[in-house]
Amino acid sequence: MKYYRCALPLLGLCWIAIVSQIATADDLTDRIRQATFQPISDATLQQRRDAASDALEQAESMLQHAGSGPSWRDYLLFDPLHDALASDAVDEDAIQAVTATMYRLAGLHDGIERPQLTRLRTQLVDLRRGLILARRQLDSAEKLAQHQLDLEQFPDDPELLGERPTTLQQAFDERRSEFAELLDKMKSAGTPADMRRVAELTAWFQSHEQLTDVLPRIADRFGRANTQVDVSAPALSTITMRHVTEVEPIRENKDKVQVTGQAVLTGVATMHPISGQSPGECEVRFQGTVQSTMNGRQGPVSFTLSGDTVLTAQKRVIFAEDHFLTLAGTVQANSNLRTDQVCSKFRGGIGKLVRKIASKEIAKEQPQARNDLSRRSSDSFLKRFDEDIVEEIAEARRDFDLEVQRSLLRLNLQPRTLDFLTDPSKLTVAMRFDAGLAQPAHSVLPQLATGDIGVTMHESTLGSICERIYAGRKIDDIRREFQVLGIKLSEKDKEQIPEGMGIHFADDRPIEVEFEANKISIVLRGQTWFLDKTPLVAMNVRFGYTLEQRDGMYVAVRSNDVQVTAPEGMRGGRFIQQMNVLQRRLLAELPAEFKFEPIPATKLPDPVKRLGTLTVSKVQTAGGWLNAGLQGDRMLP
Amino acid sequence: MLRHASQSLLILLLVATAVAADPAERFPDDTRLFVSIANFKSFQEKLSATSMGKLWNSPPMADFRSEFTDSQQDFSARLRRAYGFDDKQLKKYATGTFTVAGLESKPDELSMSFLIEMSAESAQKMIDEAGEQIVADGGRISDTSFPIAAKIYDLPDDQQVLYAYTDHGLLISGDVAIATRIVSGWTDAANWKSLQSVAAYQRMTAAPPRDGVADIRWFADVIRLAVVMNKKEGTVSSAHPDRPPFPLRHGFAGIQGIGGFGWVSDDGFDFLNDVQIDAPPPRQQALKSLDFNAGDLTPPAFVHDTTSNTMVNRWNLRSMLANIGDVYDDITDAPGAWVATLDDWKNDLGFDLIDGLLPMLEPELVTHSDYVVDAKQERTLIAIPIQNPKLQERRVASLIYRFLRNDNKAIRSRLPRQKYDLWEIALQDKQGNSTFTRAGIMVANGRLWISTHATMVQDVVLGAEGNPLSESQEFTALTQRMQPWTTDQSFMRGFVRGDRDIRHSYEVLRSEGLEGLKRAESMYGNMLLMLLKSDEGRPQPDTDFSKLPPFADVQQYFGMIGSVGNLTDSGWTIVIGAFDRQKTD
Repeated sequence: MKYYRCALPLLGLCWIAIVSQIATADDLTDRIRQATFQPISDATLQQRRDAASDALEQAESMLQHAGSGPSWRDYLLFDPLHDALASDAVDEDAIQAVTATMYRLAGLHDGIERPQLTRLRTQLVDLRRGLILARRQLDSAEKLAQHQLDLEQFPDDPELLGERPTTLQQAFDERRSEFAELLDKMKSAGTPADMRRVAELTAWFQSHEQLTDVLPRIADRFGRANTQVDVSAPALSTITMRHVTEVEPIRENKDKVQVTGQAVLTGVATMHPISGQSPGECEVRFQGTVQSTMNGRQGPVSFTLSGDTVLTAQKRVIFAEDHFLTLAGTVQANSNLRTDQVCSKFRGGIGKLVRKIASKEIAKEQPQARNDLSRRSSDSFLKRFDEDIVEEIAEARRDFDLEVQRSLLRLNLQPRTLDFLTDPSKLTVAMRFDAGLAQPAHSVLPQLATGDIGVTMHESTLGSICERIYAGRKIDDIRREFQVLGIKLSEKDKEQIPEGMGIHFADDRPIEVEFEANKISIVLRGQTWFLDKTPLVAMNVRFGYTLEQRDGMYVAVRSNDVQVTAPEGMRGGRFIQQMNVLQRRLLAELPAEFKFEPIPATKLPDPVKRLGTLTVSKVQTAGGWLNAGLQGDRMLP
Repeated sequence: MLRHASQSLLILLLVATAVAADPAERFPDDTRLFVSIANFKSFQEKLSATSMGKLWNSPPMADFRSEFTDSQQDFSARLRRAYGFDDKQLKKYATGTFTVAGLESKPDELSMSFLIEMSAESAQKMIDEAGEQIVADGGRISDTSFPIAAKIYDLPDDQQVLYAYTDHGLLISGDVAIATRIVSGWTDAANWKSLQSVAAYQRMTAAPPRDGVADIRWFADVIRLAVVMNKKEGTVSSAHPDRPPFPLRHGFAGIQGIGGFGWVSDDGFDFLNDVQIDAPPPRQQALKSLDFNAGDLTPPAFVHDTTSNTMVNRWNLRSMLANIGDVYDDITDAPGAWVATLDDWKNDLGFDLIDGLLPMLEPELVTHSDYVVDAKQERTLIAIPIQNPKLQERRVASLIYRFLRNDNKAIRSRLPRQKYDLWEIALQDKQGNSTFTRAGIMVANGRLWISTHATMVQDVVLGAEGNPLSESQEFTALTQRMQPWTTDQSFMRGFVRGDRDIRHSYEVLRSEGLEGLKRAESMYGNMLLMLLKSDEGRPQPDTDFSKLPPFADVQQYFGMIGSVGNLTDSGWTIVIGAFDRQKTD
């Protein structure tokens, strides 16, 4: 009965939660169905230009005070940017100028994260999207007008008669209905294909600045962390293992008893993930001993005592995106004390008697002395243990802020959320990049890879990152780009990328990856490709690799379905000619396979190298997720 | 009577000598490259008397001359390093015929042998001087044996060079084995097969295009030569090691030789070249694309007398494009790409190139270039007439429209009073050199127009004012000069006004150097770049072209060039004549 009473409010709560969710979803799809196309106006565009100009002014005035200001101005291409902002043109030059500075404002350069510069970057991202949108609107209107002219030229062309170019409004309407239907479907049962289409449509609405109020809610509802890195408990323990050896002198003078000697502390500290009250909670555990040797003297008696104290200590640490918190530590000590030697100044029988009495006296004092020893050992240890951990965690925080957070900010790759999660088996860093629209990994992957380190990444992560790094970007030399990204290519790999091969990426979804059925498919979208520096027309190239296990090693084997397709409405004569050549060349030249070879410890950073050589224990893809496990052999180089 | 007889005998002997004077008989039938100058001394003098010779020696060129002599590209220095002599010594000692022949010393190497007529005394001097030069450069006397007295040197680069004075002149050879074959052959008539026995060479010399001895005669077994160069450059595909080299594929081997005769400072011409391409039918594969038709070669009225160059070429475009598929696949290294492209064009775009578009076009290509001084633009236009334009013009326009309508790099505009759009597209050459950023293509006035610059199509289609080239005095003069070579089998006629034609490239080269040429958007610029392209082991010439004199100072030296192409039983001849423009005014 008691249980029922407890359960009722709980059930009620669940009901409310379910009802409110359904109401939210219905509300969402209704709002989508009712939404109308919102073209970008000249005024909005001008507002963004003005905002970018203000930000540019602030950035310039900040740079004025820096010694390297003029070089920065040049590097950030401020002059052409000024020209673009001063003009109301919506053309390729303006878009290129804004894009060029926008990308120069992202990179691993000291100082690029200054607020004046990141603010400018944000304004340029907005302006660029607006310019592209405005150009699309112009193109769309022009296409319609052109279609009319074309009909005048070739009134009997059956294809012309049959196809009237769609306006952005029409494209919006079509997508809007499909979007709403898919979302309705997602409430009960959505397939990975549905989710992919939702992500694709979301990207379209985002780049076309439509449904701006609904999209964040859809992301909140269906989005989830799309990258997770798991560090197993044993691996965390190995990586964080710290050996402690400390020697401390003992010098005491109490009640006319002089004691000198030393205490030697040896032990090991390790960190362990736990299920605590907060997510991201770990415990630093210390286990060790203190060996004390004490030489004392009182009156005519001198003695030697030995003590062994077993020390265990724990201290909890909570990792979170905005802070790392350390809780107070606890310590347990248990000492053993024995008398090694008792001597007296007196000789003969008196001496014997004195030694006997002294030994008894000492033995009488020992329980107290043992307690004292345990207390003293644990007190002094706990103090230092606390201080050390606080200091180390503070240092780790500084590293996290400087190395991770600041780098992500500099690269303009900040995740929308970053969480530390723990259970007794692992510590997980879970990140969500952009909307993160994905089905949960556990529902599509039969079993997650085990090992010291596990990586579970949804294809939307790579899509989001590439969108930020490459959308609309022109890369003259793909070989050099690999260098810039810090990817070291072997001479053989370099040869496989033709010299002078470049790409001007598409404005939307420049690189997409699909993880499905143990295949990895990659789509590269280029508005212009360069082969031997010769520009080719707009093309999308799709190729894929299948994951196979061979001789205990995972190998990605290229599939033969390399496809070169035209972006919508761009399948022209030159495209066909170039596609037929490129497709055949790619089939001949794309690497036939990649091996997931073990990563030698020497190539790993400290302290990860303590895991030894990392072998890829499993790689799998399904339902949009890639999951890989790495297991170390603990063999140190 | 006796006097007559002796005179006849003398004439016979002279004729016999003249006939025997063909140095081709001194070189074996596997000679890949053969160039013979009838009289080296007078040839030099004649060269100096040409406009180009005068230009080179003119005072405004002094600066550039010294720059050029100093530059890496210095021909003399390279000649000295390889063979121990240079052109200065040749000018000093050579008196009669100078012949150079290239033979394969190894499968991937062409070795040159020279046979130079000179006195024994001159030969001795040249041998001594060369010996000193070679030793100074690190060469050493070799103990290799040779059938006759000779000096043989081992060069530091493991090559050898041989000097031997023979009855026919001084023989210099870069390969002792080849020299041995040559010299032994001369004394073993029964087993000697000379270049003269080669059928293509015989056909070339059977009907001399002009009376008298040509200043220069040459012959190249171009296909074999290309194979050697191909191997030397290592361009044989590693993916297909067993495949014959490119020049032997696609029916190109049907070209048995290219050669001809040249005159310098002769009969009012600075240069006159009769080039014969020997490719007797039946022709196979890609050679079938060279399907020319004889016919009217008058430049159409839209070509004005302001043209820099004009060529009317009667070429069957359907044959041209229907037979190049294998070559296209080969060059792009994409087997099957051509057929797949044609199919996709037809099925996806309704653009049937081979059986749709090309049969609607006349076999006539009119190429015409001009130079727009203000814009500093060298523009080239190709015009192809449409058969039965009343009926077919719209069809052609529709096909072009279908081809380009989905091309995101094509921009179109409508010209006044025109029915169809002018398309602007960016065209690039494969080397990534000069790009034509606004090339044009259009259907109008019964023709298909394609130009490196859309503005040129616009100008011509909208009917810019001017006098037709065909009615100009310059053109008439040129036609008359080339009349002796114009026959009812002529399929091509070319007109070049040198000063206009070279101006853009010259000025760009002078102001911006080779790099500038890459941006010049010029056909000539591209050709020049191809010629000057650095190859492996040879650095890009660092010639300072800014030392060239202003164009106005040298303009007068660039004259007229006329050309005529004729069909022959075994191939084609192209006769090219260059002459001083002043002589036509």
